[in-house]
Amino acid sequence: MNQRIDELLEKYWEAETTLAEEQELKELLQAAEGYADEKILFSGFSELSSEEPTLKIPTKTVPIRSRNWMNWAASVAILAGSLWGWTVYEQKQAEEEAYLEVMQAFALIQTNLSKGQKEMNVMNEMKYLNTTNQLFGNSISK
Amino acid sequence: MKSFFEAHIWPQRGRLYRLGYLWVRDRSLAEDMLQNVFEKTFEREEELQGHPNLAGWLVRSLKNEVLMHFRQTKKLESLDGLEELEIEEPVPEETKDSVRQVMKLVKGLPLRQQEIFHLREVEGLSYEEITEHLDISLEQVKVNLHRARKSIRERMLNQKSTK
Repeated sequence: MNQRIDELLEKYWEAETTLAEEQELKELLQAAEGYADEKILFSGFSELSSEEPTLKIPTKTVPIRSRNWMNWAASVAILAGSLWGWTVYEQKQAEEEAYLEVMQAFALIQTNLSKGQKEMNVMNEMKYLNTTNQLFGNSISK
Repeated sequence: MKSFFEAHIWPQRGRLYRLGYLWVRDRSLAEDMLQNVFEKTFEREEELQGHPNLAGWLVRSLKNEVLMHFRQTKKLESLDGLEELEIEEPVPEETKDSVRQVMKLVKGLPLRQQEIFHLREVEGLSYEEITEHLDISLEQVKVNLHRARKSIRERMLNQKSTK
């Protein structure tokens, strides 16, 4: 085995080995005694070949123009929402105005009613008069 | 179904990262640069589908990213190449002895030799694949690999004799 290793090593240093022969050399060296320097060298190559980077695979970005319909949809939604809000506000205002008018009418009725009641107070005195003479006596007696 | 990027470009991330690391000698910087290259590549996905040498194109893009970085950080005055750049890279503490030994042996070799040596030994590529990756001739690959291995052998023998 060592003879084959020496033969392959000689070819290797002269850069005359094929890839298959280099692979054979590495395998033979692993199983052989000695050849410490060559073993370190080949294991160094092997260690280096196992180094891997930590990279992120690039991804496609979504073009902005494909979102145009969303802008339109948002505008329409805002417009519809504003119209609905305005209608609700108008309705509330009308209801409040009607309520105030009704309340004003009630207040007028109440004022006039209390005024009428006050006028009627004179009539209350009549209940203390028992006869017609008491009420109209003086003028009759005259 | 996988996209072209996921099927043909994303699987090359490990090899590109390790090559980038060879140039900048900084793991997080190599990752950032590769991420930039991938972002740009992703945008040109359709255009690249018919490219005759995708691996070579990716290596060249990464190298340009590295050169731009060094030019911006004033480490290189022109975009002539990385050959002139002297990187004093501290070897991280957690690095295994075998990796440390490889780095020590490779350090000081001309950059072209380092690239070819790395693609052959670490990535296990054939000569033809290396020519595609680096956009150079087959002859250049053979000559540079021979020189790199010869230098490394001499360094190993010197280390042994000084022990």
